[in-house]
Amino acid sequence: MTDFKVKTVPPEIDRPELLGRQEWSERQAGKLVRQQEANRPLNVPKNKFKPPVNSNTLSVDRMDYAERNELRKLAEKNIRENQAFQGWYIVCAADVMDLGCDVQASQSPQHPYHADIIIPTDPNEFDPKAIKDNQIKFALKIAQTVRKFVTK
Amino acid sequence: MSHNPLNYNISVLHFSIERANNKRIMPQLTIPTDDAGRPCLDVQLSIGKEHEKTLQARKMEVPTPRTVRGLMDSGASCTCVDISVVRALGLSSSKEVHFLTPLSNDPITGLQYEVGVHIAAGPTQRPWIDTSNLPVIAFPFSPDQPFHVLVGHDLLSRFDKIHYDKDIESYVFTSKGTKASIPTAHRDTEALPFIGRLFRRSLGDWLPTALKDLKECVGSAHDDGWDPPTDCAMDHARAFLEFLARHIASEPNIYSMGDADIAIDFCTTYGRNNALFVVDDDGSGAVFLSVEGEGEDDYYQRVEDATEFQKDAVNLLYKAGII
Repeated sequence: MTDFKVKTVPPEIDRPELLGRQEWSERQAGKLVRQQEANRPLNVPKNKFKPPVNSNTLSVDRMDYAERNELRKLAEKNIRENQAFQGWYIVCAADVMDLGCDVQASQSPQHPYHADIIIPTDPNEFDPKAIKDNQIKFALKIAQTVRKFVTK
Repeated sequence: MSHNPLNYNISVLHFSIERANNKRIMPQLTIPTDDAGRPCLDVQLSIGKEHEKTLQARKMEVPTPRTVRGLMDSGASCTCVDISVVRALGLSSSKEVHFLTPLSNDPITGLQYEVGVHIAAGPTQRPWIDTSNLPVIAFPFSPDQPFHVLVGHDLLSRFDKIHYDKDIESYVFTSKGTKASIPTAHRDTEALPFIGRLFRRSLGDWLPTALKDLKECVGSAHDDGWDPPTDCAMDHARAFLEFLARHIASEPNIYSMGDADIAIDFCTTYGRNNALFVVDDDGSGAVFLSVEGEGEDDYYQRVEDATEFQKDAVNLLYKAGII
């Protein structure tokens, strides 16, 4: 059970919604913070938007429906070995949708603000490298839509 | 800085018009220094009036002027612009030019463009400089520089006096208003322009950091739950980085890409162009180019052997505005 009072979140993702992709690397987070402080464009590591092996979905947090502190505590429930949660890459649902991706709410009692970005795939493509390259193309495009990096 | 509590860099243009004495103009440009002691200010770059008229006559869209940070650089003999900015304006180069830097015995190649340059204290202020066809040299600025224009001696020579006012921590540029025309000395000169300030780093200074980042890919892949890069991928990536360090000054971002792969990722300092080289676990690879505004024309190529990257890498990085 979550420690927080669950807010009502709409089952559909609205185009203006802001979505957060989690960053756990202290080194990458430090680089991004420095880039933002220098008012330079963010060079977001594309691996953050590449789906895990054998998957075509990216987990994101729906940033508009909870306080950042609440989302941080939800993220830290899935603590990672040798890593501390650093923050989120913020993208707009509309930007991601315009790239051809679907965005679906996937809330659960454990995480009421969870959503998935679904990367389009070619059902007739079976070459692993072609599948991977397709995912990297989308990772590159989604990373370019990142509006900012917000720390926890 | 005490005179600037908001820590906001402003450039103040002040014209004191002394009508009584019939002295028409005494322009004075006061530029507070930034935290590093540099006189930086906003510079608006445009495609220039002639080019704008041509586009309008053809009923083509006129690119919006771009406002970027500029450094008043008395060490640069001519005004220089980060190449990604002129490309964002959709300009094409009129010719190739060569210039010298303190860190290179050989001339470095850049491209000459003609741009509109507008510098003023604000949108309603009378501009200090407003020219529509200034020849500038464009080349990729180092990503760690917080500016995209070097306002060189060709424009600075309009002033009669430049001094540093310690009390207000500002550089003060003063002119009697007698130098109305813009010097174009570098336009047809035999002498090579000299770019002094920008090249604090020579080609490949970034290599030790990149190789350290490459080693760290093993650990970061583990942290992200991915297979660590193979020795084959590491060897190919290292060889490619060593090749790149001999040709370019821009520093890539190195990270694990999952599936035991390595990403070598270049990003422009202005705009949103990317050149992403991925070295696979088996030594093959793929390159992905994303150039702002090109969309469907983005470049992608898969190679059987990542050493093939070396054949086209420089051209591709050039196309993406990285170099």
